[in-house]
Amino acid sequence: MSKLYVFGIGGTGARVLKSLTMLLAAGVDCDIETIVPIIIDRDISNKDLSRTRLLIEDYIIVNKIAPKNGRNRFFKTRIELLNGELCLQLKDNTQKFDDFIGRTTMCRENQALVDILFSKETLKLDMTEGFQGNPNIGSIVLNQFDDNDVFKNFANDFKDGDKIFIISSIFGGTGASGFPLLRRTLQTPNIKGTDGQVLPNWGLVNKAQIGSITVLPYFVVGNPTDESLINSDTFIDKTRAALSYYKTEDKKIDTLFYIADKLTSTYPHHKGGDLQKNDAHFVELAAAMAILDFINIDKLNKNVHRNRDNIIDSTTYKEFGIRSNLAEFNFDHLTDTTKRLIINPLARFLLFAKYMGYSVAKEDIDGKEELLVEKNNNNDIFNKEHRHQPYARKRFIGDFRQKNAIQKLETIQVRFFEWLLEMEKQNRKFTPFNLFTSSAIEFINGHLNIIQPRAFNLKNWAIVDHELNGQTGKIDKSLENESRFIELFYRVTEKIINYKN
Amino acid sequence: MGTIYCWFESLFGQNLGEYLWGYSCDTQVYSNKNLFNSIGLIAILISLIFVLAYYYLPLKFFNHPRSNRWWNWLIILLLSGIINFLIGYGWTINDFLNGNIGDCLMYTRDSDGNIVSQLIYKKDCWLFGLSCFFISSMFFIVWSYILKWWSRNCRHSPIF
Repeated sequence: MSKLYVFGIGGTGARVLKSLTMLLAAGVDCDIETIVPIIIDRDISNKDLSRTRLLIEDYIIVNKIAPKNGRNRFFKTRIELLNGELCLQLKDNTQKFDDFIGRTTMCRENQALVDILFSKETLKLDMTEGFQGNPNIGSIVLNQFDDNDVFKNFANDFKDGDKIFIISSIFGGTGASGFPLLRRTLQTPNIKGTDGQVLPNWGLVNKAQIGSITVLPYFVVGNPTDESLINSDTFIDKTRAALSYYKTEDKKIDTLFYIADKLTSTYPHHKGGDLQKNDAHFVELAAAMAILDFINIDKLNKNVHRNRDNIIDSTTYKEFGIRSNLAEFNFDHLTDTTKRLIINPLARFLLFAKYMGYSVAKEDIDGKEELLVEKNNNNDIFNKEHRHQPYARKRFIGDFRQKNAIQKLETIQVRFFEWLLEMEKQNRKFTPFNLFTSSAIEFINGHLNIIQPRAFNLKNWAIVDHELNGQTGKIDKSLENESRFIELFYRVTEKIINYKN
Repeated sequence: MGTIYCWFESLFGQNLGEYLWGYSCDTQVYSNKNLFNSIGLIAILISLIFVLAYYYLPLKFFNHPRSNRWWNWLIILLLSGIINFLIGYGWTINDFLNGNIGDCLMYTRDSDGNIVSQLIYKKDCWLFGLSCFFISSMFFIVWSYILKWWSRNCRHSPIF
């Protein structure tokens, strides 16, 4: 019953958590029962964060109905929020940086020193939209980690055997500054709450296995659309500076993952807030796989090197790579380990979503051709067939599709399609699937050894219905209809898509 | 079996019925082969074969996820019925044309042996075929409800 506490710092943290949620929805192997995501971001209104929050909230609802004891793997891993909150509640929410440091109350000499250290723009920076690429500000503001109750709920919940993982980017503001501060706080003994008492279980937190991924530059931003201080020309310099500081993290982290991409995409330039909505990127998916690698029981001996006193002997450093440096790549270009991890889950969950009628279509919006995920009635096999097929009889008819958990499941399926589509739009395109085809079988790109049932009399979606009708009798009859639905579709997609390398 | 066919005797006529029961004009008793049993057995077997095929044969139009609508079942029933219709009609018309039906059943004759009236016509053979159609359809329905429950794709056809 151990848990993994995943701290996602800044916008990248939120996006990697989104990719992790997608992987868990699809049912990747996850050697831990519960994941507790905790986002640390001053910019709580940014779109990336709100999209991740909605996704996780929907996931939690679907997870409640997902069978845990059958063959099913969709939504099997539990996601739990600390006190129902995704974001760590930072006590100080001062808007302007100069107010935060109390510049106006300083003596003239100190004010002069502050004016030398920080530019006028920096001092007037509105921190409710993050640190806008200024780790120097972040390192000051986030220092409140160790002087109040922000970790009280976390410490209360923490048990022996639980693990910690930190996601941060190194080239922005919040992530670059937040990671070393957070790591230091988590390993500082005897942190006290506002009541003066040492936080409960803090000794366990100090000794917990801890992994981290540091995301190096993988995108740049275009010309600013507002008064943003973010400048992607400084990304590499900031990365270099931060990496030299991160040397001091050696032997303080069990496993430290690095990831970057030289073929960067250019994102619209917003300082934060509701407009900060970046498309999903394969780097975020790979970063999410790093989390799964860290908790992989088979890799424990490689990832964690501790002595008898549970002190870290050496830090394991890992990087992620693809087999060919191509601008467009698919499953063929991933290593065997990665293929084994993600092909089956992603393809199976996509097949499930396609059966429910979702696909990508080209739409003309204001004279501009856009790719949109939509439900196409012609492709909605469930809607067409559920009245006729034995698997649905008396179970999945009537208002079944209007049930809350099923609606949330379908919402995640739409988001899953969007997530795949967004990864295709990057300069480094990850195109594992043909998202346009209505085929039930021929939708996985690349030359993969996927064992699929072949029946001379069955074609396309009839294969899926044939399997659904065959599997329905093998499912535990005590399951509620919604749970049965997920179990059934997992079993069927497992029969239809079976990658072996 | 003949009793079942005789539910439709008003269609194909009593005399053709008597012939099929095995009535012999020579012996004045039912000493010939009871054709109802033969034709009925064929109807039972053909409807059974079609039912088994519909529910269990892994071919398009049979045990297939796209063939489990009620009208697919009805088409197979009609097919089975038509084959039985042709067998019933073919059997009787063959006997009719070859003179296998006893004279006492075919005609009413006066004391001089002249035909006063014909008792069995070709249309009676058609109507017997129609009776076979109905009876085989009944068998088809009965077989369907006995055997459909183990079918993978069609177990709720014709009624969901």
